[in-house]
Amino acid sequence: MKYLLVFCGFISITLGNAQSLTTNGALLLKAQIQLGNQNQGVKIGAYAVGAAHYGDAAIEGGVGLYSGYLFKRHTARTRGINYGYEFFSLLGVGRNTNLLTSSFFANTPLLFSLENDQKFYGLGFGFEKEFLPENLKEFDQKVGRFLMRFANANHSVNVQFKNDFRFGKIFNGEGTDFGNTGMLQISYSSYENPSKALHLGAVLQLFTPEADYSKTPTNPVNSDDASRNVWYTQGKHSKLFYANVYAFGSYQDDGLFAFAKAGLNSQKLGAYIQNTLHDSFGLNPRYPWDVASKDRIYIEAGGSLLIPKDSE
Amino acid sequence: MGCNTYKRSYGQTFQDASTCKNKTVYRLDLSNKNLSTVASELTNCTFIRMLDISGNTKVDLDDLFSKIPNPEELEVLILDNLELESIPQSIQRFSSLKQLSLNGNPNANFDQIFKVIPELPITFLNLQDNNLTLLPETLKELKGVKSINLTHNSLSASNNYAVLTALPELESLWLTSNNLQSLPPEIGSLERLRNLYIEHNELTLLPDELAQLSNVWVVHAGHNFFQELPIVFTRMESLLLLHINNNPITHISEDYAQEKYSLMGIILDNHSLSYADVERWEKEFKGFFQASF
Repeated sequence: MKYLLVFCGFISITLGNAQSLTTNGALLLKAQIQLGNQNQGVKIGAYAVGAAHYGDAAIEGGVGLYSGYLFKRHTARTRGINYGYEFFSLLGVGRNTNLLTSSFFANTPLLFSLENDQKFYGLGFGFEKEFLPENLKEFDQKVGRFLMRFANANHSVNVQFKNDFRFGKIFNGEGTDFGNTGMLQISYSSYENPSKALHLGAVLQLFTPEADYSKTPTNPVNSDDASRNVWYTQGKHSKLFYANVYAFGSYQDDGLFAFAKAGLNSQKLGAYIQNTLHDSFGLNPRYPWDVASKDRIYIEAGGSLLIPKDSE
Repeated sequence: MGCNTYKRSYGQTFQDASTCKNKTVYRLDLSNKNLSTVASELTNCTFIRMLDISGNTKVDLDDLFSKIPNPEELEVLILDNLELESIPQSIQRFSSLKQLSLNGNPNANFDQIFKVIPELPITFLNLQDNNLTLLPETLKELKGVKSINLTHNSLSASNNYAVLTALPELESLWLTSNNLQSLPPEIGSLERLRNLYIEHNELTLLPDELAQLSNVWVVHAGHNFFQELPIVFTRMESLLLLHINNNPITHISEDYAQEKYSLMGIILDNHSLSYADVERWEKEFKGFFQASF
């Protein structure tokens, strides 16, 4: 169970109109306390989003910086300071400046401004990296992001794929194939008036320890009775696997923000998904997911206080 | 994915046949229990898909096979280290058998064994640690085999590949730890191969015919004696990932910088490259989804 308290202020700025170029931007500052079965800590962060369109050609993006003190991360106990950054940018078509691209930030209130007849169909890329305390350093990884957003009026459907995979110069994962190795999120967000917004979605995320490339991959775990090769893993957290599949929802209205997540942490599901990928696309060996273990409930909930500072 | 498939693949493995009285048991591991007679409780195991009786050298296989209820449900049979000489005809009861493991049975008459099982739908055959030097011709009859593990044998003779080539579905081949000092050109005839495992041998060079393996995605060539990264990998048109760790590699050909090739991942850990070479090739392989030095 995670309890989240966020104090934040956001500033919405209309940067101006130059002929048909329309721009908009906003800044969110937040402080957060996080308690839960997978992550525990305190965090402060600054998040900015911007959007612009020139006729029907639109661009939008976001950047976030944060730091905090962790007690638990990725289900493992820890003590120490973490910090990180994230960036994303999308190109598309539509007359869009409503800032709902902020829904690509995790566990963060939506930033938006009321705009009528908004439309945006676009895709983009991004990256993020978290620097962890000493005993979790092996999981300091850059993760690449592929993003799609389809918005009409005050509704937005987002698809977000994160992976440590590296592909050329556009998908900037660390190329490690462990740690935060994959995440897929599909979500819907909408707003009704200057203060009321809703965000619903479903997420699948996989996390594995590092393979030991120096050993021959004959691990019997998850080997389908020795018919598949499976890595041995290494590092201080050589058994740290999780596969979360959950639904989430958040709601904000009049200075209050609340969210909830509910789902499962299932080694079987993680194995099934990653085995399919590794068996089918030439990425073998597999990873030693503990396929005999029972599924666990994954649940989080939180709330925020919002302090609007509209400077428009 | 149906519920039953889920349980078969990932369900709990039980070590006692008496559990079948109270629970639905899909996976039963009776290995190394010094069984001499077949427990009567086995008749309660009406759901088993995986049975492991490895190490029970005194067990009467014919008796065991005939007492398994619903034999058509069994998909995985593990008969490792049984001091086998032959396999009884009653194995044919397992009409859905997909995986058969016969590791550590060096005195087995594999010619006889392969004559008994050609009608079974076996896709994975595990033949590790059997002192094999020549594969019996009868292996050709197992037309459905997709994966065959021949680790810890001595299969250096080139005519073994004629037998393997006769397996039309063969996708994964383990030749790990076979004391191979070279691979014969005949390996190029395994055209359907997806995964090739040749680690833990004494290889220094690879034949050009490896380039004929146009469907191979992954090669595991770690723990050999390569001093140079073989350039044949640049000519394997579907190769995605190369494991060539634990080799005394001191040189990587310029072909890897200049040629176009399909390779997108390389595991080179424990090489003998200079620091400058590592820096250079890390940059050269920067576009790979994975490059581990």
